[in-house]
Amino acid sequence: MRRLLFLLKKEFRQIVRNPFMLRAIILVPLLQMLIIVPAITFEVKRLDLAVTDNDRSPASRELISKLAGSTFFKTTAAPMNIAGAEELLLSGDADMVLIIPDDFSEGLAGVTKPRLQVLVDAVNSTQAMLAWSYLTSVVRDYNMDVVMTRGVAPTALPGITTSPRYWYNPTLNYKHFMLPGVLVILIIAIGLMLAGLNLVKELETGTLEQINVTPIRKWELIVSKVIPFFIMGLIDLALGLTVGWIAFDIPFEGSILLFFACSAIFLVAVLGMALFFSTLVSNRQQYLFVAFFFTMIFILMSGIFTPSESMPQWAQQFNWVNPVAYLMRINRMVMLKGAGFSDIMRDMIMLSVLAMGFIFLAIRGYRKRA
Amino acid sequence: MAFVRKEFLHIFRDVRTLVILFGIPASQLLIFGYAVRTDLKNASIAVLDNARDNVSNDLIHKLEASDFFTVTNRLDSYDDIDATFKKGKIKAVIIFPEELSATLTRDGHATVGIIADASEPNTASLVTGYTSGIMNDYSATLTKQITTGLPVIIPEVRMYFNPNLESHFMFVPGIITLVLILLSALLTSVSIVREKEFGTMEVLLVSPLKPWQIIVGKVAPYFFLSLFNVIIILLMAWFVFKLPVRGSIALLIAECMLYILMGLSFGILISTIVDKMENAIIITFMGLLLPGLLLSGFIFPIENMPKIYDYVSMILPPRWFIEIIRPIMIKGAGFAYVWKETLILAGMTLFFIVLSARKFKVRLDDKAR
Amino acid sequence: MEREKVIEVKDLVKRFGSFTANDRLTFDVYRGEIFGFLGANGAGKTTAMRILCGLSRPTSGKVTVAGIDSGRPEEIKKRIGYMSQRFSLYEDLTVSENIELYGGIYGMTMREIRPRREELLRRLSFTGYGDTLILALPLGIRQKLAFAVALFHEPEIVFLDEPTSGVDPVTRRQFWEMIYETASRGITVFVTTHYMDEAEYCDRITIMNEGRIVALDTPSALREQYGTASVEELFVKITRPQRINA
Repeated sequence: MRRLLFLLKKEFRQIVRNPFMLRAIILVPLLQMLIIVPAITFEVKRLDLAVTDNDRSPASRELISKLAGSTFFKTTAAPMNIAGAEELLLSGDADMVLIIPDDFSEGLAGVTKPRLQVLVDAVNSTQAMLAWSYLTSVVRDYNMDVVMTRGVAPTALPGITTSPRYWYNPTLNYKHFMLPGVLVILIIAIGLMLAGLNLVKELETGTLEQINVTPIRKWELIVSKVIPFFIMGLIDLALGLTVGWIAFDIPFEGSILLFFACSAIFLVAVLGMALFFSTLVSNRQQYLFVAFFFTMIFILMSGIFTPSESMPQWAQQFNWVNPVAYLMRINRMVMLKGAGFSDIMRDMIMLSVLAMGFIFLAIRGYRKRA
Repeated sequence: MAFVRKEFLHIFRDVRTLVILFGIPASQLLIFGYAVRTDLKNASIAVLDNARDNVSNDLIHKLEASDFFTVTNRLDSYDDIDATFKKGKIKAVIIFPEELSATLTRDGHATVGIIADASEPNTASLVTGYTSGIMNDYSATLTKQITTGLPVIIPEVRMYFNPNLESHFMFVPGIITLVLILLSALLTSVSIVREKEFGTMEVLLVSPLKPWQIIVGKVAPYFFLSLFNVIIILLMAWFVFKLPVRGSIALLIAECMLYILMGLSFGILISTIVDKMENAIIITFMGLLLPGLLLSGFIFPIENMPKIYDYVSMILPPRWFIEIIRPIMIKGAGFAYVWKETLILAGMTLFFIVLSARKFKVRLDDKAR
Repeated sequence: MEREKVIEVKDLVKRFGSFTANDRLTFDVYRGEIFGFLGANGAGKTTAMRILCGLSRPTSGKVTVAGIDSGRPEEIKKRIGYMSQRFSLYEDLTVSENIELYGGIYGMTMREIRPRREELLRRLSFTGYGDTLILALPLGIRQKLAFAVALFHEPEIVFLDEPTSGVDPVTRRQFWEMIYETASRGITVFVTTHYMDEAEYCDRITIMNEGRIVALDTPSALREQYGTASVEELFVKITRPQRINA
């Protein structure tokens, strides 16, 4: 036990000796929170809609002003034909082009069928579908207006509308969603990257060999590496949360204690993973590859940006061993929905199992090495 | 020359590294292609049917039939909703009001309620978006039955560049961007700083090799590695996802080479600033990779961000590169559409190179003294 | 007078798959002697030494170090010191901090460490340099320091793996003076080296070739036996017998 204390003393001294890293550990979470969180959103804001009015009638102008009045679109008038429209899409100057044919008002009067031509840049398919859906809603509204001025009862044009309500995040504030995710990325960066690099460095420089000859047990070595980074990770977490609370007014519905407890377990899992990976490589460059590879996979698959339930079966099965997936779920449920211990108990247990598993793998990996 | 060979061998001897080097783009393609979706697929929703008539049944049926939703629960009362959400599986609850069918016939229109779990705001807005799309469809079928000769506007849509509305079109260019940064910037800086740390850099500097020869030698393998990787990604995207390169492949490769050069020069610049590998990793990771991943338009469109990010992202090379290769790959745009961005990228590369050269010279002068 | 054996090796065999790195090695090391372990690279020196240090286990044979059997490596480690071929002190720590670390690892308390540390610094004429980072010290001094740290906890035996590689001749000589001084204190020194002239400084040497011990005796006895003027000649003679006719 005393041996462990001497080891820890050494670890902390080394960390303090690298001022760059110390500053990075404090600044990076702050900067990341402030810069990244407000940016990452899927919310479609201003879609560039170019409108060609070949009809130039009061009816078409009415339609255009309705579109221009919506917050979803940013309309610009652009007289052209289809080739010109396609050019706009190609150059990216417009996301969507609406061409009103010259017989539009005649169509409304009943002479022909009123038609509209819409060209959509569908590279971002979700955005395209949403834009299309929104456009049809506005057109529908317009259609209703036209019909009603004719003095016809609304039953003539029946329709069902939806009235949405948003719970837990009524303003659909993406920051509330993304903050836990960004926090998680932080923890992983510190835990996986730095901790693992640290251990591999000892391997590379030869100090590990020296340690191996001493009476230090394998588990003492692993623990001496886990503890400092564990503390750093928790500090970063607290920092990040504080920034989130101050800068973005993130609510915290659930128990902070529960949140930190789960994050702590997650940290242990990540550190165990890092140490395990370091037993597989012989230098830091390799470690960089391995760690980055797995980090990317775990983070992307975890449902951090997109819900994990939308993923195919095999992906969901993979997430059984993905600690990030568990933490994402837990974090969001506790922070935003105020979920209690019983709600997340299953996830928490699984996370603990994973944590123990990785630490075990790490210790075993070191035993084999020496 | 022998020096370049040594670097190559260094990398290739290590099977593990190679496997991962090519594993990274492969896994990314897989993940973005099949797993990560910004779209909805089989999202679990619950239904609170207070109407229980043929209209609500039709609608529930329609919801079920769509790819977007899976109706997993039928709730009995409004009070159940909070508890259901807390369990975390259900994304939204659709509420059908009493006497839906009657209201529709009498008034001509009715309202269906949606309560969405907005702790995942993207999912929530997609749910409401697609649900109202389905309601619109239903309304359209009702309208078609009307034969009173009223004007019904029929918008015709054509989806350009992506007629099948695949969500992975967006991502492949982004993956290329990411992988190239990783290989060219991160690895280069780490590799050079490594020599610094072990003191072998001094040995090289004292040798008859000129400094620029040393740097080029160190950096050349990563250039070819990156290029090779791009080709692999493109091939995989084509074979697995049927994702073509609509524009000129030559132009695409040329732009990629420019970008790789940019990454390399950035990596070199970093290596002149830091002494320890860990620090090189921190800077490249936090300063280029993470912002590159999140702020460059790869996953999150820049148009959705607050206006200021439009300006902030201008200093990020990946942002420009994505605006170059996306049009080329997916829209088939030619050079005329991307020359501006290309110029900017070239300018950044030059900037990095000049800066590195100056810093290097300073170091050499220090040594000479 | 029966000299005490601190290391006993009998029929040590170490195999890696089908490759035999150590082939039935048998030798003893007595307390207080300077025992040289010579051989070309790949001869099996490092493998054998790792077994003696408790870093790996023999495939077969009996090995006893400081009275402990090789089956209990943890106990062995407590009684020995080791200086590795690659550098073993932490560059980003000071001299004092490194000493403190290794002292603590071997079970010493801060109260025991402090005075002994001062003593060590004094003996190396290093007083006042306690707070210097290892990074700032030249290679020769680092090597000497590493050696001193290996001895800090006063082990019974100290293993030195090529301690003088890459060091200038003056430092080498100083190093060997330190080794002599250590041995005179009753600490057994087990040293591997490929510098044949250093063999002359040892009490007894053994030469390994292709996994086997081909010579084991004092340097002078071996020189006489093979009729050579130096250990270097003797080494060449033993390991490459075809050259005798030259």
